[in-house]
Parts: sequence; structure tokens; C-alpha cells
Amino acid sequence: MSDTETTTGLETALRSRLLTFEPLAGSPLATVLGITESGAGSDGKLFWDAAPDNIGPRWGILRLQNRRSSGDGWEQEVAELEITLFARPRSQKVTLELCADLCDQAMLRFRYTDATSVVGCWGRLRSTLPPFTGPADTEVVQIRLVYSLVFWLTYLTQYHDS
Amino acid sequence: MAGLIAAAESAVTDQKELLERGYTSGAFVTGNNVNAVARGEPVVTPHGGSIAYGSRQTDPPYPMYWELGFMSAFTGKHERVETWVPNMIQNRDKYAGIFAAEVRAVDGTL
Repeated sequence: MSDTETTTGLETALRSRLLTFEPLAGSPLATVLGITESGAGSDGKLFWDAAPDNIGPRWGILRLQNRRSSGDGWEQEVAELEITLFARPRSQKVTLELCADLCDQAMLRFRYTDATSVVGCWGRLRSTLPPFTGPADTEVVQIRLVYSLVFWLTYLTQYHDS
Repeated sequence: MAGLIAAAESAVTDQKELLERGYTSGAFVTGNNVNAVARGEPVVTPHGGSIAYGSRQTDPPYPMYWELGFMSAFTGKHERVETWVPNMIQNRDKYAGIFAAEVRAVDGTL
């Protein structure tokens, strides 16, 4: 796992965990979701905030949402990690549900600690969205996963005693 | 109950203001979208009272498309403009304050 001294480090750690987690049976998410020939998706088609155009047939968008202080010291944060998985056409639904299963497995026991950071997942929500109608593409399958995170990151905890 | 209603009314007003600004170009904003924002009635459970607010526009649920994101059949791109959840996150202290003020006002008359 990469460092969690900064937000970028946290994002890298979360994405890496999702893509490389080895399930007890089957392949990791990067294999099932697929990769791009180059660029940000070359290690797995999970993208922060927005995905490139025409990236199909399966891809995902990550969002670290609603970061807010929690607890007395304000060093503790809670947030939601939202993963929206997409596939097109709808015949991809079975494979996309498998991708969501792999995300759930990766986050199920996700805990990370080092000398000054703690990151953990303590809840999850999963919704396979019904087929959308126009102007949305009706052939797209969309699964929304939301993981509740709690973390203490070094860039804030370093001021704990000051 | 009055506190819940007052807080929800404030949330509904704020949400309508956000939707009136439109999503991207503004071309997708309709009066129906704005007017569909509404609150429910307070509900009492063994765990306390609650009140819900949301959109009555459900067929099709365009506000949900924009909030959760969708692949546009026209542009071929992922479109998303969140308003509902960010509004609640940003104003949660304000709504809690409205609730508390209403409770204090009612208690003061007892």
C-alpha cells in the first residue's frame, strides 16, 4: 500500500486495493474489468472522477465524497468512497455484477495503519440501478457502490500535539 | 414535529434554488424539475423522529440521473451534476440549527 500522508496517497491506496485484491477464487478486478493500452487505465479501468470516452465494455469511476470532520479533534475524517461501475451493452450485466462482488471483497476487511495514519471501511451500500431511459443510454448497466470510510491522515495528524 | 417540518422546508427551498440554476447548459432545467421537490410528513419510530424530502419526478426520474450520473445517448459522455447530497452535507448544521430553534420556541410556550 502506498503512503497515506496526503489525499493523493489515500486515493492511490484505495484504487490499488480495489484493482489488485486477490479473491479466494477467481481473478482480481483489474483482470475482469480490463485495462487500457496506455494512460490512467493501463493497470485497470478504474478512473477518479471521470472516465475517457469510448472506454467500454466495462469501466468504473471513483469518487471520494463528502469528506467531513468527525469527532472532537477534527483530525478524524469520515467520507464516502463511491464506485460507479458501468458496462455496455446490457449483456455485460453478469460480468459487471462480478466486478461489484470483487469490490465488495476488496473493501470487506480493508484496514490500513502506519505510524501516523489510519484508514478503515466500516459500511457499504450497493445498488444496481434500473435501466435508464432517454436521454440516458438505455444499453448501459450501472452499479453504484458506496463505502463508508473513516481515516486519520498524516497531513492532519502531524499537528496532533501542536 | 414542527422542528422537523421547519428544517425540511428550508432544505426544500435550498434545493429548489440549486435546481433553478440548471445542470450544465441549463437546457435541461424545467419547471417540473424544480416544482417536484417536496417534503413528506414527520415519521415517529422507536429510534426517533424523521422527515424525508426529495423529488416527486419519478417517471422518468431525471433528477436521479443527474445526481448519480448517466451515459448520455446524445453526447456519448458521462454526465453528472450533483446537487442533493452536497446541499445536505454543506447545510446539515444549518438544518440542525433550524430544528433546534423550533424546538426551543415550542418549549418556550409550554
